[in-house]
Amino acid sequence: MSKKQIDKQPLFPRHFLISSVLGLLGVVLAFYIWDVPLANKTVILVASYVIGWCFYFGAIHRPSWYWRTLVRWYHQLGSPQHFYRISGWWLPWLTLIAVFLLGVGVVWGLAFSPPHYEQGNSYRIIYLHVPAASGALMGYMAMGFCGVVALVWRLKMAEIMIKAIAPFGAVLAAISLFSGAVWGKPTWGTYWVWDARLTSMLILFFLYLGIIALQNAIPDPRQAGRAASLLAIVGVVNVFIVRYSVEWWHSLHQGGSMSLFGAAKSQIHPSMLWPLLLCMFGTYFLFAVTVFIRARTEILWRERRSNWVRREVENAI
Amino acid sequence: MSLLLACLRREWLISIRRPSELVNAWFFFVVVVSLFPLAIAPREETLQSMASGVLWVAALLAVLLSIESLFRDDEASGVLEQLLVAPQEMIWVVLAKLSVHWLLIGFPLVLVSPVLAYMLQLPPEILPAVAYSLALGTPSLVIIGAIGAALTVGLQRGGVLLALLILPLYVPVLIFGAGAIQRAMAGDDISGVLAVLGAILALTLSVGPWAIVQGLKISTGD
Repeated sequence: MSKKQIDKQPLFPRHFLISSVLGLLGVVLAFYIWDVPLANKTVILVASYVIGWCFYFGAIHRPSWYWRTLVRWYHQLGSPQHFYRISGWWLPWLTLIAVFLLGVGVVWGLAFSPPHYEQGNSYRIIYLHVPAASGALMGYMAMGFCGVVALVWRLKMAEIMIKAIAPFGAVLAAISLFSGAVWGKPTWGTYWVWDARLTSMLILFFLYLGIIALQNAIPDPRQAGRAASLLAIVGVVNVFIVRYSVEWWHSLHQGGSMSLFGAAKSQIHPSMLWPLLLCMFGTYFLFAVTVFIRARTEILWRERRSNWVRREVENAI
Repeated sequence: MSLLLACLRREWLISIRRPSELVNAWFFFVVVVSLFPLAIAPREETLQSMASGVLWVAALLAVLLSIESLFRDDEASGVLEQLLVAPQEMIWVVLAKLSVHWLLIGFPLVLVSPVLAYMLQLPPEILPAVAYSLALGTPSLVIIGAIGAALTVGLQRGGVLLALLILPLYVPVLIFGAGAIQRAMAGDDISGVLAVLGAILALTLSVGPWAIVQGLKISTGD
């Protein structure tokens, strides 16, 4: 493409937005990933910015390919009808992966991994507790991201996603609190302490409940979605408080002992780490499955007067 | 600038001409704090150990109860929509509302808190710490509460919902605010905790007004 043609291409501010969003995503990712040293965080940060700017220049120099692909993804995932179609293809695979990961992880963790030298078998609650807690946190981050998308680009799908994420996130937060209490009794000698990690997790649970309540209180679904988006964004602060609570305060809850990308060696022996990782990723996939199912039902309900839903229902019957 | 001044004047006049709402909030704070010694045995050590929590929770509830009316009348009379469609920046209006609200609700709580703290048998040298922590904490409470008030402004029975939305977000302010008083009682330096309260205030003050404007736009259906 000649220089003249390049100059003719309109420089949409959207290019800039997309690269910035990718970079921002990198920041969030970099600071959220467990136990990453600052050097690695910088690498991830720079890499995501480079990728973002590659997209940016690609969109200028080969708009036909880059731009159309980006726009197609954006529109397809943003449109309830296409999302319904695409998620219908993904759902069986996601379910399969979730069942496989959780099945292997749970059986390995509960039956085959060695008992802890101090805690005996009671440590096995970790295979429920850690995946649930990290799933609840990831879910809230995802909700905050959807909140930004919903408020900036007014995407209907992002609002639907928030509504789909909140209930399961609340359940996971409750599971992590309950399993933590059950685990705390034999190891700490108490079900509950007012420790920073526990308290901030409890607040996370309340935030999930608040979002669900706000959505139920506003009759208009679009307005409810946008209100919940704003609340989700405001509450993201708490996710960082939960994440860093064990480092900022002297806490009864132990600090992070897993390290996937960091230079520091993980403090968990591989025989326990692997089933734990399988359970964690299995929980993420289970989360995705429930979110997809909820989002699909919500789409059908919201679009119940449109033709494609009518056709879909007729085909199903 | 003239817009800000005009809004400040408007909010000031509206609030000052309905003194009953203001007095209700102050009265609520005083009554709730003085109920605790009646309900729990008024021994000096018991009162001292719970004073920080009682003062802070009472202040928090007083702000929460009063914040519900922040946008309610403007929404009911249609002024809010007119302000939103006006070409001027809504953020100045919101800032004016927040400052007047804090000046008339939050600041009196700060002023009266040393007296109540003295009633709760706190030693006199702690009283400045009580006032400082409330002075730095209540503006954050007002701003965070206003976000919830903006989101629930048009709703029937928004009060309970407001509490559910806002109370979890109040927890960090509560922890550090009450923590400042507890540290002062233990004889520690409280400048660190006050700095954290100030940092929370800086964060809410920089992001809060934007979120409030967005919330108002959402609640009025753009």
